[in-house]
Amino acid sequence: MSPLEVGLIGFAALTVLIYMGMHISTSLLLVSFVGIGLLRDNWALAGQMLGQTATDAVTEYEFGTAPLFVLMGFMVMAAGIGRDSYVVAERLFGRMRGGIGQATVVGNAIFSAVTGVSIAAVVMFTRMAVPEMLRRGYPPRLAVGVVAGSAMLGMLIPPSVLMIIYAVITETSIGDMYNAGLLPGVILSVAFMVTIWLVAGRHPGMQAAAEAVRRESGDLGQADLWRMLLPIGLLMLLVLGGMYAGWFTATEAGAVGAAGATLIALARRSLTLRSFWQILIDTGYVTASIVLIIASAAMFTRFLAITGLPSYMSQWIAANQFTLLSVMLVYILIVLVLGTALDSVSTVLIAVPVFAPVFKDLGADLVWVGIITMITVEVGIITPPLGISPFIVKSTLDADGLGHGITLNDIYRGALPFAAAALVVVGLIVAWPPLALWFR
Amino acid sequence: MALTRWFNALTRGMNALGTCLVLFIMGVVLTDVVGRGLFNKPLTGTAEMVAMSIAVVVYLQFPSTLAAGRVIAADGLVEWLGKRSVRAEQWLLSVHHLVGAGLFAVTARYVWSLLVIAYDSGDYYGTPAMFSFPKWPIISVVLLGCAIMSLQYLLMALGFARCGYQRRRLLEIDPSTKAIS
Repeated sequence: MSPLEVGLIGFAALTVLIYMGMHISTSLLLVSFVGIGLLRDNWALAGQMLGQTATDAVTEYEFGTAPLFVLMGFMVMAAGIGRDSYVVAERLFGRMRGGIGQATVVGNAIFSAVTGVSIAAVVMFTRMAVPEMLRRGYPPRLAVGVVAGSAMLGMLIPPSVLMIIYAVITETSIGDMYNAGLLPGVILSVAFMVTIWLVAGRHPGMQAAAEAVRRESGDLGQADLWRMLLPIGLLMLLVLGGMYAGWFTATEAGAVGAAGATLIALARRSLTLRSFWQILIDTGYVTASIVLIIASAAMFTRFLAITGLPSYMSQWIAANQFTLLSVMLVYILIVLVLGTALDSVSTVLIAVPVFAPVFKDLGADLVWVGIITMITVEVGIITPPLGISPFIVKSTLDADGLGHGITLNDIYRGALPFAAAALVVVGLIVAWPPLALWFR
Repeated sequence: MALTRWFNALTRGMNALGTCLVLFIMGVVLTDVVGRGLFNKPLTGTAEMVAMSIAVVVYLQFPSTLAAGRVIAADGLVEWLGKRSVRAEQWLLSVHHLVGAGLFAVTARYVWSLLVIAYDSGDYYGTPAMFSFPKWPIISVVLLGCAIMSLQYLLMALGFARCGYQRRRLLEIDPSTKAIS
């Protein structure tokens, strides 16, 4: 077999293994190990690379971002800041057309700016916003679609664990990715709000709901509002502001954010010794899984480089004089298709190692490619047959006994307008890269 | 059975240690930031300490992550299969875990070589006179972690196979605890 064939077969094998549900780290390591062993006809060498991956590849200062931002997310959740961000957003935006929906989007955006993992947000917003929207007579499909759709903001608005993974495999800076994600995150939020505004225009029931919110929202005083807004604002200022101003590296921002969130949780007396310990354990679970995946991905990237597959693709693209735009469109399409049946981490790990070298050779900025990747991947997770976020919405509703009549299909359909809005934003960023590179 | 109990106690202990290290990482980075910002005195060796702790956290926590069924995977197909046949689902998971057991056994074998090299050469992280720490203790933890992971994968492969045979599930997992986005 030629190296190129081994590369192609390895790539196909990885895709199949991941689809079959093998642990992502195991799939990456297995394919790289067997691939390198076959290519070099030297199994000791393949084994040595496995050993190197297990030791040197996990010993990285930058990986500190993973446990720290995950810890911050869990602490923020325990401190009740997620609930606060929704309440504040409802106070500010609840009077608009489709107000509870608008509040869900804004609440999600605010919450995303202080957490790195977005699934927890889906569970929380399903519990808070869906019953309220249903009570106020929103069409069920819109109610669940808003929650599933606005989960997309989580991975785009920094901090974001998915961005850490992307940054490490493409050797871009985590800080650059975080700074770049800010503006597209705001644009995507606005796009979602416009979507809700348009959809709400077709449902007169929602006008009445906005009236009701207007009458009821008097009971939240100015003092309460500030009490809720202050901790969130401080955390955002410290973490995002600190990184953007260049005071902190991403790892340092993570430590400051985690400590700040812990202090807020302690001050609000919302931590018991037991829940604190559980949070630390959960943080460890996510960290172990993610860091091992990143290290394994590094070995897979090296294996691909040895096969020459990425450089062959680059030459082939250059020989046929394909433009950056056409390659980008193909890439977006592939990511969308992968995303329909995979989770976001798997999608990034299959698509990015092959395409990143190609984009680099075409002279594209990998941070720009990263932002496009983040949004496109997230569109994938709300599309059938296996979108994870609609699935979580459904299982949360069922667990709470609110699921009556709402099917998974309803959630997919409800989320569709948001997928469309996200694709419009992707189009904007492809057409005008400064949108993603403004804050770099 | 006594052996399994011992093994579970071991992974739980490793988990607890790893959990403390997460706090240690936060503390180290924070000390550095505050020291540098307020007293113009950064903590030397911060980068090395964080890097070493990350490696240790991963290997101390992974076995219990595995036991809790929380390792990240795309489980669409597994779930689809599970709705039709619990036996097929559990047996597929058994195969997955068997592969993991083999892979980490091989990894452990080669980490052992690295450990011997690191011990003999006295290699270290960091730069001398600033901050340095020998590599062999860290690589020992990696070796221990890989060996325990291999064993844990094997035990779970057997567990899945047995449960599949009895048409029941080894683990019931809340999907929202497994995905990150």
